Amino acid sequence: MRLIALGVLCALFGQAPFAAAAPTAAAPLTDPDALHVSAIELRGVTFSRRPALRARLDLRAGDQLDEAAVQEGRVTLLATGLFDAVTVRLAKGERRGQVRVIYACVERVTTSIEGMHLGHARPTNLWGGLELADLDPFGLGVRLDGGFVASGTQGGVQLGGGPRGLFGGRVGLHVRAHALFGDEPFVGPRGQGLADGARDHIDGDYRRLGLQAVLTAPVGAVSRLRFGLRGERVDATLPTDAWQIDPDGAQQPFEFNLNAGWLGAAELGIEYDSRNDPAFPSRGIRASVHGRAGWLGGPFSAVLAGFENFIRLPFGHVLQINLRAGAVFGDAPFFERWFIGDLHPYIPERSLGLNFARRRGPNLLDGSIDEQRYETVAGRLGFEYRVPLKRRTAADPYAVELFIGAAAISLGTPGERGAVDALDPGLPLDVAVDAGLRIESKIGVMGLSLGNLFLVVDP
Amino acid sequence: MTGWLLAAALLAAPALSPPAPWAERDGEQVRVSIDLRAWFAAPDTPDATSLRERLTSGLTTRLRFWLELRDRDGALAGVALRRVRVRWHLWDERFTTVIEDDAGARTPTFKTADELIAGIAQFERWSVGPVPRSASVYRVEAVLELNPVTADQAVRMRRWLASPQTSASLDPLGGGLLGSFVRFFDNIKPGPVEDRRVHRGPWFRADRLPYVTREAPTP
Repeated sequence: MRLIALGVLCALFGQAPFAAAAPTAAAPLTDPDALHVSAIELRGVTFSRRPALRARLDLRAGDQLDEAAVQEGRVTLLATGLFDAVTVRLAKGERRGQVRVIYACVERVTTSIEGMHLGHARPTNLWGGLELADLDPFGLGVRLDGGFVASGTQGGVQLGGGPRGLFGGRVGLHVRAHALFGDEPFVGPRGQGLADGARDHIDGDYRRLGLQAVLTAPVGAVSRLRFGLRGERVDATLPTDAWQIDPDGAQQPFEFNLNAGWLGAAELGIEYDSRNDPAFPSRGIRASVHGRAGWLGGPFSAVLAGFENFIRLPFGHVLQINLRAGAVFGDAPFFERWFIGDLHPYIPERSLGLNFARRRGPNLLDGSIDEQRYETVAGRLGFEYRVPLKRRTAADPYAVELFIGAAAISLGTPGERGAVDALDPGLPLDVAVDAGLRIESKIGVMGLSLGNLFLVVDP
Repeated sequence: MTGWLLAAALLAAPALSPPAPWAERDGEQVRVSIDLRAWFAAPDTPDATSLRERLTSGLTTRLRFWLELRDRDGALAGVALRRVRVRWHLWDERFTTVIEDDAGARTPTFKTADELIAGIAQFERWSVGPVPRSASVYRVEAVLELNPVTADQAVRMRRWLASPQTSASLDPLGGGLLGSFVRFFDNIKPGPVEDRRVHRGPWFRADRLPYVTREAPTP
């Protein structure tokens, strides 16, 4: 009977019952002889990486041996993302009571494809791009990344890098340069055109060359502060005879919301991430609040917040509740505002800051979301229900989950609708539903969803 | 018949993998015997060598041996566990251990690795639970987990995946809230344990298990 109960408990809780039954099971065996560390060796590690990695270990030569600290060092090394495997053992030192701590490491391929940009939508036939990163390509503790995206009319490239650990591995610095050559397909709320007549969109030619530096510092175990500075040169060639039709039906000069000149901006944010897994979380919270202030022909600022809560349900199912909200104030250029593609899964999101599609929101609620493009106030409240089809285990890194999600989306600029608000109070509100599969494998994580289809199919 | 099948599987097993488990029926209990010393043998394969070497790492090595009875759907029908903590004393050249299983907790010492492995990796007529009532087929799975890490440590080992530097857009969370995303990388392999071995026996009908005798059935 006891074994039946044991089996049932194991099936329900994995190995937890045993851990609960014997809380001291993980404790090291006591050693009557106090051992001291005479040296710490990192084997299988590129020579240039060793000083930085050694600094991260909570072990020093001459210290009394602390088994927990030695085992924690193994986890610390694996947490860098530089190694496939790390084993640790002791070896005799020069004198009785002295030991050398030897970490035997197997370095891994640290290059990754951080993102793929591929899409097809009017007026751009096809666009594509790639973002690559390497945690430490030269073994110097410096991360490098870069990316590009291009179509027949637009293109962008960015290159970045920086030390992964300043001040003993606690603080990260990342510097990135970007060059964007945009040809934004601007659309007005209810139509647009030039002096010679209506057009499907207005081409807005602009260039952005800039540099950004971001400093990140951990706050506690699961939070980090982020501080960034950015400088850009913005140039634009915009048609002077462009017009747009406002929600109230009035025709007026097109509002490009783009000033040429020098842009300077500073940002400060805090991010919290207590998820139990970065790819397939089943519990925890991920949240962030960012503030941004800048100048481009006039002052602008922004406040942005995001929240995701993962709740574990019976049968291994997971419910995720997500909320995003933001407001932009002042004379912000269009690329600093909320874009419909940032919120809506059926609109291609910006790739490296470039938008290639003139698609409007589908407007399933028959509101006024299809008139919104680059706006100052945005909100989104959604949920996602996840059903694991295959779980990742210690022996098998493959995992598959089915998800279905829905969200209410709102995007607008207060006062923009003017007099029409009284006559037509249609809210800029829409709903979106997405469903698909997420897969984790030995070569990374990927998703296939209804939203993906709308990247290549332009209805 | 089942006994013959198990014996045949035992003979056909590769030299370096443990022999097939022997399952038998003792009243209402399923009892399993298995010798897992082959996992610790020091043959040509680097993995097996490293498992043996880890016992002499000088640090406390934690092992969990699970004997599980599972049906075709992988559902657990019975289980038994032996937990071992072992440490090789570099200067005294002996193993001290704490062994916990159904027989209780004990703390033997061993002079050699062979003695230690013989003392912890052999299971003789271990009860894994009551004989399942259904006519389904089952098999015995022997699992060894080496140095399990805590849930927090397992999360830390994968946290680097969560903080790419590329999320510089307006969206503070980014990354396809509704699921459209892709990242290709050499996925990190460490799991919740440092090493894990599994050995599966042949399928058998629980209601046709031989009783406690080990002799082959007379034709």
